[in-house]
Amino acid sequence: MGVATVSAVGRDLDLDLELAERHRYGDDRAFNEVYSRFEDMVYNLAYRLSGNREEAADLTQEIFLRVFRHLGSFGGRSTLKTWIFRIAVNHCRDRLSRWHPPTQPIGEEPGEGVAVYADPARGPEELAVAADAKRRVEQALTCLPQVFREVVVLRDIEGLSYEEIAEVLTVRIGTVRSRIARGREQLRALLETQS
Amino acid sequence: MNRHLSSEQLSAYLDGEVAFPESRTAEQHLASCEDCRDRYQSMQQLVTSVWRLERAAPPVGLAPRVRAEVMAARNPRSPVRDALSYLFVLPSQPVLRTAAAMGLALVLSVFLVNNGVDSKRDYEILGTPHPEDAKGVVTVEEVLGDSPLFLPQTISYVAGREFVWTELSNGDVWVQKGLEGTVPQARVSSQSPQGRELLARYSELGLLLADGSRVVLRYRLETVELSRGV
Repeated sequence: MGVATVSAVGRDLDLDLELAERHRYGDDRAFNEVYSRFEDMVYNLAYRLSGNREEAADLTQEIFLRVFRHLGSFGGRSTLKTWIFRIAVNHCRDRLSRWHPPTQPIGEEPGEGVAVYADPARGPEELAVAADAKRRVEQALTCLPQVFREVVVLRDIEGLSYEEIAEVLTVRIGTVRSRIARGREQLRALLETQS
Repeated sequence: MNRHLSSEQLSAYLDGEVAFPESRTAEQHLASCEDCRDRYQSMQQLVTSVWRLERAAPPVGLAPRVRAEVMAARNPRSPVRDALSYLFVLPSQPVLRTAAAMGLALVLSVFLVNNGVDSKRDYEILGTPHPEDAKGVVTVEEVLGDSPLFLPQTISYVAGREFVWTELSNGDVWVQKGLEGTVPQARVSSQSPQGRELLARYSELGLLLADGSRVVLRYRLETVELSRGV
């Protein structure tokens, strides 16, 4: 990690702590800033973990309520991003263990709420193949056991580093490394089974 | 190195999450082993296909829903507050409570006007402070502040200053208008010499302190947090 990156992380952490402090002293704008910054991230994580848009919306609402209640106690031992991810993953685990699998798995139809960007350079046939491949990946991801789905989503969709994932899941980096590899192997096996 | 790379090594190498000696070894092995190179490329394709999945956009109505939920959480029901509301016949809903308080103030004002405001005896009977003793009038009203959440604010006017009622996870605070979100430079207890001096100077602060656990105000060019207790 370079000096510039270290100072950037330090700046982010200062900003995070300032937000928490402002929230502690009743500044409503602090929570709004947090919400705007992390809404997309939390919703997307909840969507990928639950595999259902409505459930993801409910989960996001509950997660942010937790964030609101505890933001004042954020102490800066990790970044606000990993802190919120930790709350989100824990809440999803808790809720999804009591929740039935999605009746309509993600990828069945584009529907509302999924940003689909058509590439004008690709022909209809190519687009159909790409859409089918995407659907298969989404379905395979939904079938992946929770413990592997978490790490694959955090790494390959949300782009967290191994260190950040270890902070979110409160496990060692070695565990993260092994789970990601096993998750990817299982995902590949699921895709092969589908085809 | 003749042994094939494990999935874990390939995966970590793909993510750039291996330290220098290990990355060099993996690089050298991949250059010479077609089998591992194929596995590496297959894993790379898989990761790319996951990474390319569209991000799900939150539904339009979600943000207002979350804000409404947060607003409800800001005003939780408290047994003490309910008991006080019952005692003072004030409803627990902030809007209704304010309306009731304003109504009560109106009735009290009419009563004082009709019965003479200058009579010291009347003040003693009513138990209200004499104007010479009081440095300000405490009134409560509900206004729509500039909060992005559009939350109604409960405001008290004490000694010519506006204080905003703020409910925090670690207690309720009256914060002087304009100091919301400001971190206090000094924290004083009401029992400390500085706290007693503040209360002697602005006696109505005691009323705010009795209602909330802390009062944040500007005093002698500093933001001071006055708290109850020792």
